[in-house]
Amino acid sequence: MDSQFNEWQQAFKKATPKIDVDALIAQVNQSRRAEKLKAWADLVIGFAVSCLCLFMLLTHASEIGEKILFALLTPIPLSVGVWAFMLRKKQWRTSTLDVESLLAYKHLALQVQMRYWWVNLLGVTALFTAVLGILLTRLALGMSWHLWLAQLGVFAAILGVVIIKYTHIKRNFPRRLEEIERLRTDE
Amino acid sequence: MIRVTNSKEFSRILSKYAPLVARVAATYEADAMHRQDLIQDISLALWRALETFRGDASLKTFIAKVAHNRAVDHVLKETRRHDRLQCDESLHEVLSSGHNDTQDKALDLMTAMRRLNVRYRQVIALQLEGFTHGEIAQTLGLSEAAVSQRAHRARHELETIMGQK
Repeated sequence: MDSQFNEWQQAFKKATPKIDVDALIAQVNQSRRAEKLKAWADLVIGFAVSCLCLFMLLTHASEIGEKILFALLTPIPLSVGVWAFMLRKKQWRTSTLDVESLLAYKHLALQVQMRYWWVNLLGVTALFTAVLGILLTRLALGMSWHLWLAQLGVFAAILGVVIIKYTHIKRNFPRRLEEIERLRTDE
Repeated sequence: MIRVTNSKEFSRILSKYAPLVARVAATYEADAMHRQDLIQDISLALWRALETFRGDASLKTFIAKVAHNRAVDHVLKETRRHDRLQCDESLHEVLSSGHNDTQDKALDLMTAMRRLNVRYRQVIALQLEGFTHGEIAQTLGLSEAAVSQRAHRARHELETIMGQK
């Protein structure tokens, strides 16, 4: 290498930010413990909520509609917990990818994320509509409806969150895609 | 094959390569607080990544790959804020223990490097760390020909920016 490059190299090494390695190691230890805790919390909470749904199904659901609802709900929290756990593991593995592979992965992940929230929106809307239908039917037939109203409230809240999330992702999708592409292409 | 599974071994590696990690972070992030976060993020990613390290590349190349991977992820997350911030307080602090010509050059170089397109910045930063084109290709996932091309353009642009000062 020529003298200018050597000069740059010396200047580059000189510009090394000061770093407290002991404090950094302590921070990393702490973050690592917190990450592990969060990963396992996803699984444990999912398992606990699924158990609660199963308990409700076996002990409290007396009518066929309630039984179907709790039977449908039971596997969902555990599945989401397992999915979140696996996703976290997958994200950890992506840190060993080279830069180009990471950007390709990010591109794909962005498209998957869009699809995921679209399917999520359809699913939650379907569930909300079904619960609303059951509630209206029970009201019309003069049957007890309070539990279904509570469930409709829960689904309405979930649906609201999903709509906000999907709208946000959809609005930012072109910009985020462009940011990735800008780092991938040479010109 | 080297597998790093205990904290003592990780601490030894991080102590040795912390300056490299800090320079990668400084190449991408001008703001001191965010740079510190990035250094921590890279270090955490390194701990996870080193458990799977099989010795396919040198340890230094592997660490550089993880560091640039996390730094690019950081750029994607922080693009809008990144565009707004051009501060270099911490670097000024680092270099303020008596200004001289070398320190001015260090500051000028880092400021100029951050004005480079990220693709060129990556290549020149790795070159300045002493990596070969083959190792840079491995780190960035490019062909050696693409690395040569980017290195040539990066140097030309850096010279232009430095020349404007």
